[in-house]
Amino acid sequence: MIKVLFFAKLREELRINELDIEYKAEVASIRDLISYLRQEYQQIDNVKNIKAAVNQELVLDWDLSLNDGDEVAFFPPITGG
Amino acid sequence: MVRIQEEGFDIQSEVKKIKPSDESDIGALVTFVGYVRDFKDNKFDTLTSMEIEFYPGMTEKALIEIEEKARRAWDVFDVNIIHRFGKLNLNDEIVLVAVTSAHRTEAFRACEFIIDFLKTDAPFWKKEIGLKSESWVDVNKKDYEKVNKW
Repeated sequence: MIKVLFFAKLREELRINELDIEYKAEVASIRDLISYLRQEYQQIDNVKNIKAAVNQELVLDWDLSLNDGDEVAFFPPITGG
Repeated sequence: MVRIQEEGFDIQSEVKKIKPSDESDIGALVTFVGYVRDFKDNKFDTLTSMEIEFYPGMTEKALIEIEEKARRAWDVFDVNIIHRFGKLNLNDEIVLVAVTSAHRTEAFRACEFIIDFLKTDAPFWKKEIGLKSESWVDVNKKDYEKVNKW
């Protein structure tokens, strides 16, 4: 399984906090995973400059391979402080 | 030390944690406190509150990493970072960064470094809630430009 989390505006647009996706070839990388998610959640495109974290580390290279058991988070750019 | 909490904090008691009265090597203490303020440019609405969301687990790690980076760069004694989440009202404090050092330069620079990186590297998201509308805060490009200068 891959655990997928959404935050802030993305969470609101998708109306979902998290979901589990079976680990398979269609979700082998971050780029694949977001394409896969887009089939069901077209609203993903309402949020610009989406960032991704794998196992709670920010990942800039979306071609990074995912592994079974990974936690992947998608969120808008950070606005803390 | 870093802390993420819903409740407010007392600046004086948080400062005492890193500057006990019996600690005589500390020559400088710098504190930064960020507050919820009214909209700057929006003449059509008045801000009433703010909601702050974070990523439990990742956000704590990011704060610890920022503190460690500052400690590697400057000779500081201690650091106290608190960032709030949840619903905050106008004028509420959002964030505290307090740094102690032997001398002021290290304390000032480390404090500014930490708050600058909090803006870009710690996963928090702010939503501004006004009388008529609410919206997620947009990224301020200046924050990213500032971080790139360190």
